[in-house]
Amino acid sequence: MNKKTKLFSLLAALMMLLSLLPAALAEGAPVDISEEAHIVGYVPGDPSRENDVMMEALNAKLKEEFNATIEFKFFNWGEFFDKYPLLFASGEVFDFAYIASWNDYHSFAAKGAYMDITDLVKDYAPDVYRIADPAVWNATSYRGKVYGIPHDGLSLSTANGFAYRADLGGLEEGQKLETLDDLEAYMKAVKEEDPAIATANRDAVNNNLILRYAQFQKTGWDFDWYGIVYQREDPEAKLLLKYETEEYKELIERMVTWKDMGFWDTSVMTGQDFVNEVDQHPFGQGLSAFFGTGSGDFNSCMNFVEDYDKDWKIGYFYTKSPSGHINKNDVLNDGVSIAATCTQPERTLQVINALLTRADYQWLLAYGVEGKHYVVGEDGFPKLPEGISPDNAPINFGMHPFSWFFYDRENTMPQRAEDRPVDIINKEMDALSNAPTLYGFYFDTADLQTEMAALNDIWVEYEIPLSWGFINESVEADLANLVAKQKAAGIDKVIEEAQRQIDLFLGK
Amino acid sequence: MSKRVSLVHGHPAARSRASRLARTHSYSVFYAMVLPAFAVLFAFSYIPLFGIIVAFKDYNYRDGIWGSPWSGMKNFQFLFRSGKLGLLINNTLLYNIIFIIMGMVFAVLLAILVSEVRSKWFKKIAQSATFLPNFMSWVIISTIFYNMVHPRLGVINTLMKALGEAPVDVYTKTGIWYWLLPVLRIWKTAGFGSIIYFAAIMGIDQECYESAKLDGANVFQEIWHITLPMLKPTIVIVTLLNLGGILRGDFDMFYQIIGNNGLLFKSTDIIDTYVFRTLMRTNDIGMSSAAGFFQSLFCFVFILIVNLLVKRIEPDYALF
Repeated sequence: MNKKTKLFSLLAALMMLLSLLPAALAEGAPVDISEEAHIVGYVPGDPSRENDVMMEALNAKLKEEFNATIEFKFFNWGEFFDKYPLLFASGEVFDFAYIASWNDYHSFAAKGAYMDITDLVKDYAPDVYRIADPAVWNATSYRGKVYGIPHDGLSLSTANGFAYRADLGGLEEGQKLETLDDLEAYMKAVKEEDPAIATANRDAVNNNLILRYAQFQKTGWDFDWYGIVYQREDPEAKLLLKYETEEYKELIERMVTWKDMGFWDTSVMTGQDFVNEVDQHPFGQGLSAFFGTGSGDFNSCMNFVEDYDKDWKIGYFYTKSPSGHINKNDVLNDGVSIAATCTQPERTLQVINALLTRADYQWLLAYGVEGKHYVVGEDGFPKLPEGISPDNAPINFGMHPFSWFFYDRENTMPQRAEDRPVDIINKEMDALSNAPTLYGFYFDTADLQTEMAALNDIWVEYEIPLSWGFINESVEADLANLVAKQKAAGIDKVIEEAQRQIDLFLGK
Repeated sequence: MSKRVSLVHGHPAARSRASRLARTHSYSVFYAMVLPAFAVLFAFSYIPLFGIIVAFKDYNYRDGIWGSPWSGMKNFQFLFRSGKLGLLINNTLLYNIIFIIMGMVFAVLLAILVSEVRSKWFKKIAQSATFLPNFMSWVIISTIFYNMVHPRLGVINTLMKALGEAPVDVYTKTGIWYWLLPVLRIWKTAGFGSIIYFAAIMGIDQECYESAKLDGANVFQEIWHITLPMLKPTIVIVTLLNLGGILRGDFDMFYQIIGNNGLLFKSTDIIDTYVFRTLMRTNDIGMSSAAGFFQSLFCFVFILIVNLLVKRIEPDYALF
């Protein structure tokens, strides 16, 4: 064990001890806990096999300390996006819900789904308030009010790139794909080896992910709302429409060449075989050279190769902006809000405060019951008991949805300084990551719903086919047509409003 | 049933008093029988009508349906400002007209063919085989279909390549979908649709056919002069009922088969898919309700006009 880890675990043990003294540092308002409270909340994912056992232990602890019990209700990922809005539309009375910027946190806040906790959070979740970076609260505000508890700001830059088969395309040992020319040569070689292998990479709504990364490498554009971009280092964040630029035209021309070289065909537009799991994706069947949208997906590929004993090699492709940086992850990647229908916000916040900041609760939520679901190793790190592997563990080790945004993780949840390939990549990317000018900025479109609806439609009908190089007349004419459609849909008004909000955000 | 009712109606007691109460009482059994159907209709068709007001509101979760502020016609703007409404209505109407007409033609044809077949064994097999696709969801059909027409790996194109022909990429041809979609739709629904016609054919008085045979009519003459005219009321009523949903596209089908494929929208985008696509990410209940209300209104006016026309031409066949 190296010195650093030793020091780290010592510190961790110390912090654990410290945090066991209930709310020693906190100076919140007193809460009346004479009546028993039952707190109910919704989180995405599936419960672990022994969730009930873990919850029993958790509730016994909460009952003793706060005279409260908590109940997590799970949304399966497959139904999450459909059921989440219904939860609020139905008027159900419950206490808290998972939030994320990628799940339209601000739009739900605008429609009154969450409770305004601007003042409550200081009084009833004092530790959370103390630990979180002030900028974090800025990101979670909507029109000056705080509606959610975000991540404390430690998130890694993970969603930026995709995994590829490094044993294909005649890549030499240790050779990495880094530029678009690398990518082109690789895809060409893969196609020559086996024309049946797909070399396209898209997301659930058929976006061309290769183009997304190519664009970042070429221009360093950020924001990208229906083509509205700014250069990520521009302190003024001056907006422009990317479809009118020479750079974007060149990128599309490249995509046309790639399409003509047979790298993909029209099946990319059908959305038919899109799946998130490696083993169900053509990648897992050896029919695709690319997979995923981030280093987490790269790790899934590594695990897949190991689990299924494939003699494949996996590489990871990601791009940097022209200045050599990548974007920091959004602080609102995970978080929790109090529901507008909640009748006991003080009690709920008090419990959430403990769950998010205290080591005893965090270990219980993340690893289960000590001695049963995990044991503490000599090094002070949690590990699975004898005879249990991650595949058959009764508790998803460290994966409870509420454990994704624990506070003060460095001190309360010591993570092993591992050097799996994914850790190396994460470290590498983290060293390159910095905040673009508009980090933490949210574009409030509540008054632009008509324009947004029209722009969304134009994006699906014109921009996505173009991004794959499917051309009607010529690149120039198709781009001009796209711009004309967007102008008719009111893009100028959207740009103007966005710039106004940005100027406000930048304090101009 | 109609004979029964007229009997009760002619009951001496009911006639002499002619009081509404007594009549109601004598019909009480029938009213009781209608009650469950009425309750279902009231709960699922009438009460939700109040929800239409969401289309005129700036909906938020805090104030709910009643409390949210009014927004006038703002929610309807996106439909009219999109500049696509013409194309959407055009596509929706066109597909529905094809579906209604071709669906009717094939269902009637199938019913007549099956009824003319004498072999019981073949009849059963044929009915089951045409019936079966109706129980498959569009998700499954779309997967099978995709694997058939995949531009590179599909069954059809593999065959074409083996035969030395150029492969066909259906995902780049917009025109072909005006044929493909109706074929899929008819394959799926014709069997189920034929049941009602088959039942009607079974109900035709056999004496008609016997006397026709005596007069020396062949099978085709029997079909043309007896079966089809006797089916006419059923055909008209089923068609009228279908016309009531003329502006409601089969979302399942279009969304599963086409999905978000912008290359094909010129010929495959219907109101339902457009609304779903544009509002999927905005979560705006008001705007989706506005679109639904617009469709309902259009269908309502349409069915009124068609019914009026039917009434002019053939009053007995009109719905109301």
